[in-house]
Amino acid sequence: MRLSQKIAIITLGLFTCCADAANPAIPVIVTSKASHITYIPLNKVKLLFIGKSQIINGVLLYPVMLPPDNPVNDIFVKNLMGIYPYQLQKILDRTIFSGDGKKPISVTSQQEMADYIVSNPGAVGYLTKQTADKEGLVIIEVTK
Amino acid sequence: MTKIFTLLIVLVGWLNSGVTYAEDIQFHGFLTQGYVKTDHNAYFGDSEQGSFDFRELGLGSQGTLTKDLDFSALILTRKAGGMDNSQIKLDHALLSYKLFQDESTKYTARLGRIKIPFGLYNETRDVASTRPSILLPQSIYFDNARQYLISADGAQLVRESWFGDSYDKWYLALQQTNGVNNKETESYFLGINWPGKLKAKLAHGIRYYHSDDNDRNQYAAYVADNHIEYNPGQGDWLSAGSIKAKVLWLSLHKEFGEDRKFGVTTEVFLPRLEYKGFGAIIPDKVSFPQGYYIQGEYRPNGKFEFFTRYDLSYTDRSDKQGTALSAATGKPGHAFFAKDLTIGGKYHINSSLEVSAEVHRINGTGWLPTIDNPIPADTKQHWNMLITQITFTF
Repeated sequence: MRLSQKIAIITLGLFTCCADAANPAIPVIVTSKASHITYIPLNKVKLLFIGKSQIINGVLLYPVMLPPDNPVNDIFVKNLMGIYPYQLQKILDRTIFSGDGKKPISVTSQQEMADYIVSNPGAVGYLTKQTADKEGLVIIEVTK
Repeated sequence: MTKIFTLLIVLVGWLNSGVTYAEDIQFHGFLTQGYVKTDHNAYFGDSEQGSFDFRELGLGSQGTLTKDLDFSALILTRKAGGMDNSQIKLDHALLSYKLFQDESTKYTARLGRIKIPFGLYNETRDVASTRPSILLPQSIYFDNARQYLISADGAQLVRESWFGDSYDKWYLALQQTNGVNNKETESYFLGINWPGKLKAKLAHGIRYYHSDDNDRNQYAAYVADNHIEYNPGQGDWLSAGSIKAKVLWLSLHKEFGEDRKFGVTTEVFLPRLEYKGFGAIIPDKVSFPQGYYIQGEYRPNGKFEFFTRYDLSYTDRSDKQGTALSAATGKPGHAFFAKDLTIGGKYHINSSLEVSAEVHRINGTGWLPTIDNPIPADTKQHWNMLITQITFTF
């Protein structure tokens, strides 16, 4: 490959990377196909991700989260939870350190989240739409 | 009490040996270091010279033992001038059994050493990342009586329910504190540290908590009844007396605007203390301490938060200047009230690390630690304090 082509590819890669980082897609809520859940009210998403376990259709749900510095996590917390990530952390710390509830399951990447959720019915997480396109994973409709 | 914890440890070990959920155990903790500077009076060490004698370290674990049984425990070591001297203490250790859960309700029974759930912050008062400020408002979260107020051994029945954006929680508590037989708590109830010992009986309490939209609005009320007995020591001037304490805490927190940038928090502490049988030095009486604060909050973005607060407390609301209490105890009148105007802020460096700073302008020494200021006559009524803190949470 010629040097100019290499530069072009690297430049394109950088732009793609930075455009994605600046404006990542709004994540969707996902669970395992085995959970047999097709919808979840928004208020239950909010309760679930502040450490309050929820049951829908007899299935006990529990949250799975990406690291706080992950851009998808940032968008999820600001857009769906409606708060800053540090506020969510504060609420979770209150639940965890008082013995009132448990930490959400923590994964390091979207891929790991997808793999974990597929094999753990009841686990609920958030992924970009592209990553959510995986065998065994379903997108849950968030209702008002 | 030791028996309860031996039982808990044996139970946890036994259940864990069974295995199914053994991998579901989590660990968490925090570490803080503070710096305190005052122009008069000592707070958390020799603060007039500038004191680093303020640090907190907590290590906790929680997990699932069986399908419906969880455990949670936290050990804490705290250095806070003479008040806390880095001893390792069990903050809480409890078993939590889910009795029932459906789509809108959950009932849980808890057993062990459990935090006393008063106010908005008592359950995590030593976890800096959950506090709105470095020092919690002392009218409500009185550090001089912290051992009495922090946690107690016993049982709680908890009912949670949710509907729409609303979340409601009821607690019924039956707990016994072992935190009354210490200098600070005795000074709080009896004016000074007498040779005898205080002992608390089983207390009961009820708490109601409501929140909606991820804690945008929060309301809480906690009422409790506690009976404390005094057994005189050798050569004691006090007789065997008792204190019936009825306490009420009320809390409100609201956030405003689409992006919740502004907030207001207020809490009130209204106890009734009935003293009987102590003899001539503490005649039979009913006293009404009082405390409240109002706090405004501003969160301009995801990195910074600021607050300002006016916090006020009286040892006896019918003696706001402390005149009668001063005549009875020999302490200055300003030892029986405190009015604290505070302004401060927090910067979130990342999700684990934050730095905070706040300035207090205080009239009165009502919540000044007696252990750091052993001669009441040497304390100054008007004083200022700067506190900074760095916090690491994991």
